[in-house]
Amino acid sequence: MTQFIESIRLAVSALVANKMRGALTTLGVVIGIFFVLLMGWLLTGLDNVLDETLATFGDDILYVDKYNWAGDGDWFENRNRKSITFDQYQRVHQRLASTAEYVIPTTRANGASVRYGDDELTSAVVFGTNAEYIQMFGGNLKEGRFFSEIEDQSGGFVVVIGANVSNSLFPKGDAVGRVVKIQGIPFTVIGIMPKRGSLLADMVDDQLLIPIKRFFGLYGNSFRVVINVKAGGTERVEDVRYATLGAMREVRSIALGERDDFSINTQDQFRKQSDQLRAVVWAVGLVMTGLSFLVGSIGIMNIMFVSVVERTKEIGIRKAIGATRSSVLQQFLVESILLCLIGTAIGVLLTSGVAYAGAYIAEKYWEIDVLDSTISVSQLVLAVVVSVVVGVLAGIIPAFRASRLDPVEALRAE
Amino acid sequence: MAPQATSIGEPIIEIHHVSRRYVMGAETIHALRDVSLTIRRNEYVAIMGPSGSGKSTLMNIIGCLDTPSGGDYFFEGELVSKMSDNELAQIRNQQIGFVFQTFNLLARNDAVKNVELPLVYAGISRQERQERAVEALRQVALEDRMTHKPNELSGGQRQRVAIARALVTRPSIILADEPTGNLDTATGIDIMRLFEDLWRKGNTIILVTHEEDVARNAARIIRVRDGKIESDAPNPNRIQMAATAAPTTAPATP
Ligand SMILES: Nc1ncnc2c1ncn2[C@@H]1O[C@H](COP(=O)(O)OP(=O)(O)O)[C@@H](O)[C@H]1O
Ligand SMILES: [Mg+2]
Repeated sequence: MTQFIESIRLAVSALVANKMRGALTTLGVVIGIFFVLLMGWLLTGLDNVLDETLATFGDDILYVDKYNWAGDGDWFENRNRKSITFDQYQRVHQRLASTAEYVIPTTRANGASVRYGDDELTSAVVFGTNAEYIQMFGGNLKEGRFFSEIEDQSGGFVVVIGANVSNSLFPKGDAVGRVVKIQGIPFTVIGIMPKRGSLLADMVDDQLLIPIKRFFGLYGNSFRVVINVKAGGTERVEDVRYATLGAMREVRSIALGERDDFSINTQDQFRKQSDQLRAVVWAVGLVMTGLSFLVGSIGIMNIMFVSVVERTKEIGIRKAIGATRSSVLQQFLVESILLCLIGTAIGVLLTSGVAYAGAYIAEKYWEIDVLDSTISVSQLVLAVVVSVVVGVLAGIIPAFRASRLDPVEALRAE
Repeated sequence: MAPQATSIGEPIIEIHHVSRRYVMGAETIHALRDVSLTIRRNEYVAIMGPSGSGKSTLMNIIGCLDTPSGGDYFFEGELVSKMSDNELAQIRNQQIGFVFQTFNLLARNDAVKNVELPLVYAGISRQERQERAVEALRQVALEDRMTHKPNELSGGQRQRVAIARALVTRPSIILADEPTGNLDTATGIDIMRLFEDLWRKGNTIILVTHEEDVARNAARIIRVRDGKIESDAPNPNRIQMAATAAPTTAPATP
């Protein structure tokens, strides 16, 4: 133990004696640690997106559609299936009323023409649903209110707009109470949806939500309906899926032994997108990290070799007065590890700065609030472990060489 | 002749027919050939000979820094060639105190830290290390230079620090290879007084030198030439020095 403390003291004084060289040597490690932490930081952000998405939509919602969202099966066969109609929705709703928490219809029309005065949106999505939709998602609006059941029944000319729609058409934030034209027909804005962020392209921010009856009024009755079935808890999903399957087969009159002509989709598409992004971050991060650490450890190994050569005499002296091979080995290993830890400390500071600034900028300019402004403790522990490993790997050969020096030869060195 | 401080004791070093060869390409250099000698506790021996005669080689073997190519070397009755690297390191650490011509202090460490160093490898606590280093520096009359770095000390002072470092583990023997070689005459005499002092307190001293004046202080002189022992006899012309100004405290050897 005393020897170990002594090794640390020695390493510190050896490094202090060669500040500049040490600083340059650690650059590779600094960059390596920077990439490791940056990768971790981005992946954490990605996890947050996924969590937030699942929290918003719930991970207990089944989406019944004629299409398979995961892209399984034959797309042409999918396309030739009959769309789910509003009438079918209503009958499924009845059958599932006691099993599922919510059964809600949605329809969407992309590329709708939306105007306010002279401003026109082209990428907007008109979304038809009913009053329960907002409850299924926790019931919060940024401003105003959602449409009521009465407006549902009557098919009122009211619209709740997404955050991007609001920002584009009403930069002053005075959307509620204004009248916009959808497909040339005036609708009164009664509410604004909260910002959802756009990392996962579910486009809620670009939507204009109107009562589904009104939607059919605009686009025709045959428009494809998606049935959103919220199970009311992940543990109920399998039961509800089973019930939904039965209800759908019955409503669609599918005979025993015949195949389904619809798909029951889940949140997997979010996970898939997130997993793809995650894989990209991983791949890029690993390559960058690996390269940096390779360069870093070669640098450190090199400097340790130089250090051993320069201090051959010192090694001889230490051996002459009783240093064992292992204590010499330990001395140089500790020095190498310390070099890496210094690099790590600098890398941590650098990444902390980037994370802080990055989170701030993302929040302020893009309203992306999923990035943490600090590096997590587990990431720091990982960084320290990695740098100790690199320190040992880079230092072991020079340290071993030092420990094997012949004392008489070493003493002769200048 | 003044009486010795303590009587000569049991053999510490027994060398039987030891040789040391250096193979350099096709050429073999015989640095030592068939050397035999015995050194007992509390002897004061000078190893003399011209430059290149094999004195340092012999010293390094005695000090367990080097191992013989042939023959047997027993240190305190134990065969050195049978010892592991760690055992050799331990002997160098605990039983032997080295003093070199070029002092061989660590430049970045002050006097106390330099003297403490062997105790670090002996695994002794910081507190005790410090106390013993200060005590050793006091023995060489350097208590007022404790925190000086080597480059802030004179040659004689540096050699005293080196001697304190050799003493601090209370070794069985002190090996000095040309300890006055880099010092002026007056300072050299100072250092020789110190060795005399240590010997009187019961230490065993082996001194390598090529200077007759220096060897004259020893009680026994071994002359080496071409790697062979030419003569090995008590020194009839021994000059015993007056005690130094260094305060005489407890013997360095327990
Ligand atoms: N490492 C070595 N390699 C080759 N020859 C050596 C080595 N060390 C010493 N010698 C040779 O051994 C002989 C004795 O050297 P040394 O013991 O240093 O003599 P001294 O100390 O008496 O001057 C010399 O001829 C020297 O050149
Ligand atoms: Mg010599």
